[in-house]
Amino acid sequence: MDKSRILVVDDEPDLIQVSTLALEYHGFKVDSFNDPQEALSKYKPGLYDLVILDIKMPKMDGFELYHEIKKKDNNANVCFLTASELYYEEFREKEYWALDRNLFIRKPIDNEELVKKIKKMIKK
Amino acid sequence: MSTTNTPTYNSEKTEVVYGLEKTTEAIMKFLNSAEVSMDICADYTWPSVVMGVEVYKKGLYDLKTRNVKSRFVTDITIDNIEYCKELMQISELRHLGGIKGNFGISEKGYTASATLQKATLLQQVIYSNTNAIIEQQQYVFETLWSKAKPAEQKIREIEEGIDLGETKIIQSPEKILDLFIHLIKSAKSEILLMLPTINAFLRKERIGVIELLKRSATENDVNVRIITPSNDVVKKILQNAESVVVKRSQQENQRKEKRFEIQHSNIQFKETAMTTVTILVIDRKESLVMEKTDDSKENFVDAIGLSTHSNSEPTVMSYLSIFEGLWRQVRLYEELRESNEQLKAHDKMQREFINIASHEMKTPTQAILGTSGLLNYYPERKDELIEIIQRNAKRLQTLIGNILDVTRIESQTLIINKERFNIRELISSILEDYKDRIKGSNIKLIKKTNNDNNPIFVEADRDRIIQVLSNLLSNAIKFTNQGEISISLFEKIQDNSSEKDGKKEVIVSVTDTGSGINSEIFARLFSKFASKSYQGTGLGLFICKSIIQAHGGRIWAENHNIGKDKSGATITFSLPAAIKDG
Repeated sequence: MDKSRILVVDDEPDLIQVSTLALEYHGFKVDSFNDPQEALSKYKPGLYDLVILDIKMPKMDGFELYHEIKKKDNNANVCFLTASELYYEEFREKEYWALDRNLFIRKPIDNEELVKKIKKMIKK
Repeated sequence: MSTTNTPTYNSEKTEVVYGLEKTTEAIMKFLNSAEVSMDICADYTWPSVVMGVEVYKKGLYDLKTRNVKSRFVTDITIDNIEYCKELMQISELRHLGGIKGNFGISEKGYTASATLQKATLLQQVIYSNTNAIIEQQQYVFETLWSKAKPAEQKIREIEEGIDLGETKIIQSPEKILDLFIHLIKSAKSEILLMLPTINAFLRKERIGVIELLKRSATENDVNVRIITPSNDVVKKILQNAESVVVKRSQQENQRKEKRFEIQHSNIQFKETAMTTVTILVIDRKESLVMEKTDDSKENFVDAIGLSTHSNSEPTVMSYLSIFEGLWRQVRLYEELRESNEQLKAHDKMQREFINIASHEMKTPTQAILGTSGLLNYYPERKDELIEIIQRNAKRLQTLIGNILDVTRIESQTLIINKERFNIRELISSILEDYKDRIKGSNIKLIKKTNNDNNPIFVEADRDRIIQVLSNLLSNAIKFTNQGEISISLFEKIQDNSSEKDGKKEVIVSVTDTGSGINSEIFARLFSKFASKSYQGTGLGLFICKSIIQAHGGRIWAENHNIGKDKSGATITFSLPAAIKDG
């Protein structure tokens, strides 16, 4: 079976490292970026089974990046991994009400729980 | 040809009598012939004429003796009041303000004079015994009599100083304009002006009213208050006026009370409740209320309608209370709006705090939780993973410390434990510590002091000062990729202290060659949550400021350009130097 491939974008280097190591341990192939703009410019449509975005990031926030990725790759399977309460609440209420709330994974979350959620999303 | 039961034509006559002798004779004949009634209406000079000239006086007294029923109407004033009291002995007397024209009617005849001069005899008199004339003049008299006020009442009002004044309707726009200007110029203590529309304001501004008001406020110490709807143009004109008045009062070192105040009545009145008149109240004594007929007109005279001018106390006080009521209402509205905005800002800040705090707590918690889980997966990478855990635990520790500090600051329970120590030594040791931390980076840390190494003592909370210095250095490192960070220290006489007092302060600056302070947050740099960084709560400098202020010092920031492609920021704080002990 081919390994599922996941893209992780988060501005916190420590969190990138944690996610990458945890997902690799569970058999995923992981690409990661600290810089959302770089992630966008190097994005390859159709390559990833799942894209995991942080929301609060400098230069470009996770929602903006979501839109840009969708422009390049309409079928992209994107979810958010966020520590930001206000963003989560506000955006769910406002323009992103249409987004499935299951697309939001809230930090902090342990590795097993994270992997479980990710597997569910990839199956969809 | 003639009939017996009607008066003959010849017996009825109407004539004008000239000359002093003849007029006196005609009047006396008229007075003496009356047997039933004598009604006289005359202006304010008449009482002095009839009571001052002996023949007339006698004629009037004789009326009383003959039991002739007499009624007199005149204009009772403070000047003729004594004559009027005398007249009241003879006849029923009533007062009619401003009455002109002098005539008398008895059952037998009618007399009138064109003019009267004070206490002199008449030169010219009309006499008639024509029934039609007598009858017609009798109606005129009855009308005036019914409108007149009993002399007793008027005399009491004058003597007790109650001047009911009067209210007049003025129709001529030119007269209204003259009166408007005159009233403003005449003000001695207070001018209240309420305008119904922006156009009304601009029309008044065009004829120089605002300039006049400004002059009253600056030159005559008149308190001017204006209520007007406003837009940017109105605001600009008024700000200009206000600033001139304020400047002037400062120059002359006058009392601090405001001489020129404006309320912008941007309350939306319902159309029916909206005033469409201009109200002017001068010295709480006179009011001028001007209707506007056409607000689209540019000229005062074209736009103005009926106006009422009053110096009658109840009327003036009513307009005064309308003005004061609106003044308070507009001010309350302003205050309400301001406090509402403050509440909103406060609410936004609270939400911001929760957002930042939760993000800042969850991020390291996530790192710790995830990494500790990885220890099972990758036991061989233990050291590397534990380093991540420690780094994030420290980050969490700093955050918790900061949040606790902010809570202490806001509940005013921040405790400063002062001790005497050498701040030069403290800075040196902190620098050594930081030099270790930045090993391998492109940053150079330098200490700038004048060469002497004399100790500089302060009386302060050592731990808190370390906290401030660490915060400033960490910030400088965070925003400087490469270059130098310098820390300078010197002692000087306090700015507001004389050489003799010798109060000294210690100045410490941390200068970097980093990106400089973002202009968006520069103004609120030392307030809570002022951060442009995506790692940080924006609490650090707020805490620094609070600590320094609790020591009686100051803290400030500067951005500077050091040259081509070089920028940077300096944060400086001062602390009072410890008093030298022997």
